[in-house]
This record gives sequence, structure tokens and C-alpha cells, in this order.
Amino acid sequence: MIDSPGPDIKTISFEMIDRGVFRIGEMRQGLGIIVFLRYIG
Amino acid sequence: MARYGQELEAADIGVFVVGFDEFLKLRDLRDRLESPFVFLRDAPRSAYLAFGLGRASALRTYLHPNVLGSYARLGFNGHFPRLSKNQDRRQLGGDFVVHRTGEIAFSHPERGPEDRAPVRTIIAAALAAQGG
Repeated sequence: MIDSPGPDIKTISFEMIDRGVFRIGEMRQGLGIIVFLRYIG
Repeated sequence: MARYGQELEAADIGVFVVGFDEFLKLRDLRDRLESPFVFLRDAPRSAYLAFGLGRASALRTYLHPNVLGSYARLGFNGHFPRLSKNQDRRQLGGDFVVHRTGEIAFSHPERGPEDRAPVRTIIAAALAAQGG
């Protein structure tokens, strides 16, 4: 297990593109793959 | 990664794609890829920062041989990136496997634009973390 880079990872808010807010700590699944994109060309 | 969608769903692993561009671009990308995954936006890049994702040098962004090769392949296939003046092309991405509790089971912050983790490596790490 790799240590979390900070205590707030699970509370970081993302905007969902359809609607609403998403937080890692509130995901339905116990585990998630998070893919951070670079710019969209 | 979409081809592994069913396998991931069966293992109860979510996939979340995060971008910092406008909603319209993210929606367009999702639709273009017919992606089944959840697309999220992090305009202030606070998550990028929290996950340690930095910015590449201009040299590596524009002149790395693998970057030039990938643009050449895209062009050869008739796809030309829609670049705009205000885009931050130096912001790096990365791939992570994260527990709901915030613990990180796999971490691959890009060191350059050509440094993406192989999809199979990410999937294997996720399945292992899930005990599969």
C-alpha cells in the first residue's frame, strides 16, 4: 500500500460533467482507477 | 481501458477520468470514445496538485521523440489535435488506484507527456488491490 499523498484525498471535490459533485470517499465502489488527463486536443 | 469495462465492473472497481478542460471538451471526448466511465472535471487542478502531478518542461512537451512520433501517427491517420491558444499543454496527467478510504494502491504520476502507465499494469494493480 502506498501512503496517501495527503489526508484530504478522499475529500477532494470533482465536478461531474453531467451534474453534481464527486468525492473519492463517496464512490459507490470500494476501489477506483483514477485517470488524470493532460490537455484535450 | 474501456475493453476491460466488464472485468472491472465485475470486480466492483470504478473508473474515473479527470480533466481540467472545459465541460464541452470533456463531454466531447467521452462521446467520441464512447466511454462507459465517469468523467470528472478539476478546473482548479487541486486534485492534480494533491496527487503530485506537475508540469513537463517545454522541451519534453514538444520535442520528445515519442511525442513527435505520436503526433506523426495521429497525422498519418488523419487526426489533427484541436489545439487552442490558452491550453496548458505542459500539465501532466497520471494513473492511480485509490481506495474509498483515500489510500493509494497504485501510483503513476507522469514524468513527461510520453510517460503513460500501460493499461494492463493499472488493471492488474487494481485487481490485486481488490484481492482478485
